[in-house]
Amino acid sequence: MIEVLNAGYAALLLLLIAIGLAIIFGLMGVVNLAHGEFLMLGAYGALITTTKLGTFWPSLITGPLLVAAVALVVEFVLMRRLYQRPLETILATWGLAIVIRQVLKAIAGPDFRDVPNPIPGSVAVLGVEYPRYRLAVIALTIAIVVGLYVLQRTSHVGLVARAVIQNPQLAGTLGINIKRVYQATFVLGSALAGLAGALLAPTFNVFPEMGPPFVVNAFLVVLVGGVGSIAGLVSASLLLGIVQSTLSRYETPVAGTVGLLVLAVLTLRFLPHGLIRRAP
Amino acid sequence: MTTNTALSRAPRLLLSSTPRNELMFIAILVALAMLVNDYYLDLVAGFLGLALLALSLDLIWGYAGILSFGQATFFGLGGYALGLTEIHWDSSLAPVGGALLGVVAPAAMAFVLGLFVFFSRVGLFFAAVITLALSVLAEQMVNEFSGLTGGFNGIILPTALPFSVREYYLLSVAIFGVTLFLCVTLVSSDFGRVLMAIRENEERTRFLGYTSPWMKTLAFVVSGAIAGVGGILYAMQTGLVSPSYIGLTLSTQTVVWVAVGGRGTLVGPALGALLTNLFQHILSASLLIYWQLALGIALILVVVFAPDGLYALFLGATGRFAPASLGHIRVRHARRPSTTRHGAALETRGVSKWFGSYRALSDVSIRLAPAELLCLVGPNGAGKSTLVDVISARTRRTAGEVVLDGWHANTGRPERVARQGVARKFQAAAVFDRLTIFDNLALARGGGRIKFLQLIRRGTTVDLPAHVVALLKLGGLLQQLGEPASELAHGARQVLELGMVLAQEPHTVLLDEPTAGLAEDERRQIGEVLRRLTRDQGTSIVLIEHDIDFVRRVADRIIVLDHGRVVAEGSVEEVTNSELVREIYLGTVV
Amino acid sequence: MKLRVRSHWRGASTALSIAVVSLSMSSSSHAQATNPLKVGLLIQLSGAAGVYGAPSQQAAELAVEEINQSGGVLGRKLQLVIADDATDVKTAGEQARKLVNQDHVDVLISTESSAAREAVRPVAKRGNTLMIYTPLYEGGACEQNLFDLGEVPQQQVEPVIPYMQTQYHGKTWYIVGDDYNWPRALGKATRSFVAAAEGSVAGEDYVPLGTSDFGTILDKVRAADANFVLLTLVGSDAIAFVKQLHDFGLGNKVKILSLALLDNTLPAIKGNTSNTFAAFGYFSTLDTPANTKFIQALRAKFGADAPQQTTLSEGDYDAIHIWAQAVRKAGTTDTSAVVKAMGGQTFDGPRGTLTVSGTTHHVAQHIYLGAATPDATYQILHDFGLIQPGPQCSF
Repeated sequence: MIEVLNAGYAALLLLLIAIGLAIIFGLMGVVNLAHGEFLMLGAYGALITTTKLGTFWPSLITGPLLVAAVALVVEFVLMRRLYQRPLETILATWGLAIVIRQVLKAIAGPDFRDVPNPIPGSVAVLGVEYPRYRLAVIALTIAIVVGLYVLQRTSHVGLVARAVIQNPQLAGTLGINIKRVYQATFVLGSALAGLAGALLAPTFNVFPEMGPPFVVNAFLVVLVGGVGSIAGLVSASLLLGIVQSTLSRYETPVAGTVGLLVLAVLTLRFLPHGLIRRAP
Repeated sequence: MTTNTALSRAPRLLLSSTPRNELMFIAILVALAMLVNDYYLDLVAGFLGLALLALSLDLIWGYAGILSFGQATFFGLGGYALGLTEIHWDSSLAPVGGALLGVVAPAAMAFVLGLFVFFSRVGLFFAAVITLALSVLAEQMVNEFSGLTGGFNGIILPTALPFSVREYYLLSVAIFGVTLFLCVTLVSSDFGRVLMAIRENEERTRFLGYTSPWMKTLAFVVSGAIAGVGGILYAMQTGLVSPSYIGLTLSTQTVVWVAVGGRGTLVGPALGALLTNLFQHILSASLLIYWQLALGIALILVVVFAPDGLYALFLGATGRFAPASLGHIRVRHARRPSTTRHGAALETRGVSKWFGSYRALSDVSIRLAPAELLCLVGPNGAGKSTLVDVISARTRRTAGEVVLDGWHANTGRPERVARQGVARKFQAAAVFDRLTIFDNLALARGGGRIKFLQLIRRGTTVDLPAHVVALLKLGGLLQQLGEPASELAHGARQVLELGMVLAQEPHTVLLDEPTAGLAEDERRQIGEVLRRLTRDQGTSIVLIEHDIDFVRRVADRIIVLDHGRVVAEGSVEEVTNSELVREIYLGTVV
Repeated sequence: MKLRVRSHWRGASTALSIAVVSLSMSSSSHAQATNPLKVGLLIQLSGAAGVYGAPSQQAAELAVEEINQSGGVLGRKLQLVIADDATDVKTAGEQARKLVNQDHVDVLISTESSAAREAVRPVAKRGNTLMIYTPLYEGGACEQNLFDLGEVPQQQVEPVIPYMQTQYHGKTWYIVGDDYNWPRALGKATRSFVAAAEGSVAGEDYVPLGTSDFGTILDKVRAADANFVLLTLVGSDAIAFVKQLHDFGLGNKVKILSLALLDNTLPAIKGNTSNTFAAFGYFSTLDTPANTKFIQALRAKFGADAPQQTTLSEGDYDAIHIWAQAVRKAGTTDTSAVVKAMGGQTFDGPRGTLTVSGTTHHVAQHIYLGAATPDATYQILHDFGLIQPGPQCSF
C-alpha cells in the first residue's frame, strides 16, 4: 500500500511541476528552463509568508502571486521577444535561470531554510504510517489538475487556449488577442510552478539552488506526454513516476533515475508525438 | 558532347575563397606563444580542447542544423579512453593508443546514436531532447561503474607530458589548427553544401535524392571524433578525467559558447569557448560572487540582441555561413530519359490512404503514359496532394500499389523515389533560402550521391541541359547566381524550384500547382516549357492545377478527384464539359 | 570603398585588442615590496556547496591575522590568496593552476569535494607545492607533498558504531547516502565496522544528488526494522531526509548518525532534531578554552552573526597554524623540507590536540559525538579521545 502511495505521490509531484511547463510550451512554443527557479521563488514565498504570518496555508496563494508578479515582469522584458522560437527561449531562459538564482543568493543568502510542516505527523493508512502532509499534497494536486482540466474543457478561456495551441495564426485572425493570451499563459504557467514550490517547501528545505533537479524530469514528462493534452501529461507522469518509484523501491534509486531516462528516450524515439497520438 | 559556355559573368565573390579569418585566428594563437607567460599558455592550451568541443557542435548545429545537448559525452569519452588506456596498458605507446581510441570510440558512439536518432521520424527538437537525456544517462553510468571509471573522483592520468609548457601549447595550437582546417574543408565541400541544404530544408534535400539520415550520421560521426580530440587535449592538460567532463552541464555550456560565438562560423564558437572561459577565469578572482550573474545577463543580452552571435556581429552582414559558392553553368545535351521500357511512366493501383478514420484516398488507380501530361483537378481537400505525396513516398499509403516505370515502390524514403527518376515540385516553392542560386542548382544536379572526393572538394561547375538553362534564363536567374535564394521574388522562386526539379533529369515530374501566384504571361511561359518538356525530352508530367484555362492549354488528359476518389477521367473536352465536374466545382442547381 | 574602410577598422581593432589582452596576460604577479609568504586557499564559495565556504574564509583570515600579529613566519608576513572553485571540478583545476602557477603560493590549502581534490592534486604535484586537504573524506589520498587533516572513516565511524549500539540498545543499521565516492567508500567501511561490533547492516541505498523525495527509502528503512540510519547524505538531501523521517513517524524509532550534517545546516531541521546525531572532529559548540577563544575572536572580527563554524571550516584554521609551525621548524619554505617538518607537528587548537603523522600524512584527532538540539546546535555527548587515522598512506 505504501508503495502505491509513494508512487502516486512521486507521479503527482512530476505532474504538478510539468503542467506549468506544458502550458507554456504548448501554447507559446517557449521552453522555459527557468521553470525550476519559479518553483524556488514560490518556495521562498512560502518561507516569507510562514515567517511573517506564522501560518503556512496562505502561502498557497502568496507563493504563486509572488511568482506571477515576477513572471509578468519577465514576460514584458524578455519573453515577448522570443515567442515560437524554441531554441532562443532555451538559451535565454537558461541565462534567466542563472540570473534569478544569483539574485536570490545575493538577497537571501545561500543557507538552507526551513518551512515547518503545517500538519506534522502521520496517519495510519491500511496499517502503515503515512505523513499527513503528503496526503494533503496528493489531494490538493489532484484537485488542481482536475480543476485545470475542467477549466480547459468547459470555459471560454479554455477554448481560447486550445484554439491558440492548435493554430495561433488562425486564432489571431479570429480576433483573439494573441499577445494577451501569451502573457496570461506565461504568468499562469509560472504561477503553477510557484504553487508547486510553495506546496513542496514543507517537505524539505528552501535554498537558491533548489530549482534545477526538478526541471529535467518535468521536461521529460512534458515531451513524453505530448503537448496540449492533459490526459497525455497525466499518463506520462504516472508512467514515469511509477517506473522511477518502483525501481527505486525494489532495485536502487539510481536505477530509478536511469529507468526514467531510458523510458523517456525510448518513448520519444518511437512515439515522437507523445503518448496520446494526435493525427499527423 | 559538352559545350563549355560560361553563361554567367565572371563572378564577383563576396568572400574570398581562402579562409582568411581562420588563418588570422591561428596566427594570433601562435603569436601568443611569444607574447604571453607560461601560466596563461597552460590555461589556453586546455581551453583549446574546449574550443574543439565547441567546433564539434558548430559543425552539426551551425551547418547541419542538428542541435545536440550531448557533445560533452563524446568529449568525456575521448578523455576516458585516453586515461583508461594509459592506466591499463603498460607500454610507452599507451598515450598514442589512448589518443587513437579517444577518437575512434566517440566516433563509433556517434555512429550508433546517429542510427538511433536520424533514421526515424523524430523531429529536430526531439532529437535535441534525446541527446540531452542521453548525456544525463552517460554521467550516471560513469558514476555507477566506478570500478572502471574511478567514479565521481575521476581518474588521474598517470603519464606526464614530456613537453615544456610552451611546447605543449604549440602542439595544442597545431592540433586545433589542423582540426579547424579540416572543418573548413568539410563545410566548404560538396558534402558541406548538402549538410547546409539539410539544415535549410531537409525534406527538399531528400526529394533531390540525398539520403539525409546517412549524411547527418556522417556529420555526427565527424563531430563526435572532433569532440573526442578536444577531450583528449583537455584531459592531457588538466592531468585528469572526471565525470564533469561528460555531463549535462558541460554540454549545455557548449551550446552557450556556440550560440554566443555565432553558429555556423567555426571561428565564432571557438572564440566563444576560449573567451568565455578566459573571462570567467579572470573575473572570478575579482568578482568572486557576481561573475555568474554577469554571465547570465550576458547570455540573455546576446540571445535577444545578437541572435547570430557575437562573431557574426564582428564579421558584419557577410560571412554568416560558410562561403556561399558561385561557379559556372555549362550547357550540355540532356540525357534522353527512357520511359518506353515498361509501358507506363507511373501507375497507381487501388491506392488508399487513411489518416486515422479519415479516408483521404480511396481506391485510386491512375496510369501515366510516357511523355504524357496528366492534370489532376478537383476541389480543395479532394486528395490531389495526398496522392502525389503517396506516389513520391512522402507519406505511406495504407493500401494499393505504386509502380514507377516498372519499379514497385515499397519505400518510406522519398530519396529512393527521387533516385528512381521521379522528381517533385512542391506547392510552396521549396528551395534552400540561405544558399545561393548556384548552390541550389548544384545540389539538384548532384544526383543524391556524394562521392568520397566530394568530402573535401566543391565543384565549381554545374552542367545543365539546354532546356533547363533556357528556363532559368526566362526567370532571369542566370544573372543572379551568387544571390541567396531568399532574395528572389515569388515568381522567380517557382522558376528556380522548377529548374531544380528538371535539373534532376527525371523521367517523370510531379508538379503541385507550379503556376500558383504567377502573373498571366509567366503562366503562359511555364505552360510552353511543360509542353516542350513532354514533346522534346519525353518527360511524363503529373500536374495538379486549379486554373482551368491553363489546364486546357497544356493537358493531354485530365483526372478529376473528389473526396479521395477518381470521379472522372478523359480528354480535356470530355471532362470540362461533363455535368459531374460542373457540379463538383460549381455546385448543383437545386 | 566602404567595405575596405570597414575591414581596416576591423583589422586595427583586432590588433589593438590582442595587444591589450596579451599585455595583461604577460605580466607576472606584481612584485610585493614586503615579500610575504602566500597561503593559497581554495574553497567552495559558490555553487551547490557554497554554503560551507564563507566560514572557511573567516577561519583562515583569523589564523593569518593571529600569525602576523605574533611576528609572522621566518620574519615574513602571511598573505592569504583565496580562490573559489564554484563546486565545479573544472573550475577547481583552473583555480589551482592560478594559485600554483601564477600566484606562486607557498602552500595550497584545499577545502573542497573529493572530486575537486583529484583535479587539484596533479597541479600541486607538478608545481611542487605543498598541499593540505582539510575536509573529512574517505581516506587514501596519498602524495608526497599532500597532507590530509580531515576525519577518515577509522575516526569518524569506527569508534562511534559500538558506542551507539551499546548506548542506545540497537544493532541494526541502514546506510543512506548520496551516490558518489565518499558515501560509497564510507558505506563499505561502515559494513566492516558494524560487523566488528557484532551489529548488522539491513540495507544500503544511494540516491542521486539533489533527491528531494525519500518516501521509498524511508519505506525500506521501516520495513527493515532498523535501529540506526548511518547518514552519508550531504547538504539539502540530508536535511530533507531528516525532515521526512520524522514526517513518516520514524522519528522515535530510528536514530540517525550523520557524517555530513554540519552545524550550520541545523537551523533547517529546526523542529525535527530529536534522535539526530553527528560524529565529527569539531563542533562549534565544543566547550573548551581553545574553542571559546576561537569563537570569540571570530565574533570580534566579523560580527556577532558571523556564519557558524563547522569541522570543514575550522580545519582551515588548524591547517594554517600547523603549516606555519612546520615552516618555522624547517627554517625555509622549500617544499620537501617543510614536508619533512610537518611530520610530528602537534597543534592544540579549537578541536583539541592534533598530531600529524609523517608516515601516513594524516592526523590523529579527537572525535566527538554530538546530538542535535531544538535550538539548532549540537550538544556534545561524548569525547572518544585521540583517534588514530589508521594505515592511510606509507611514506
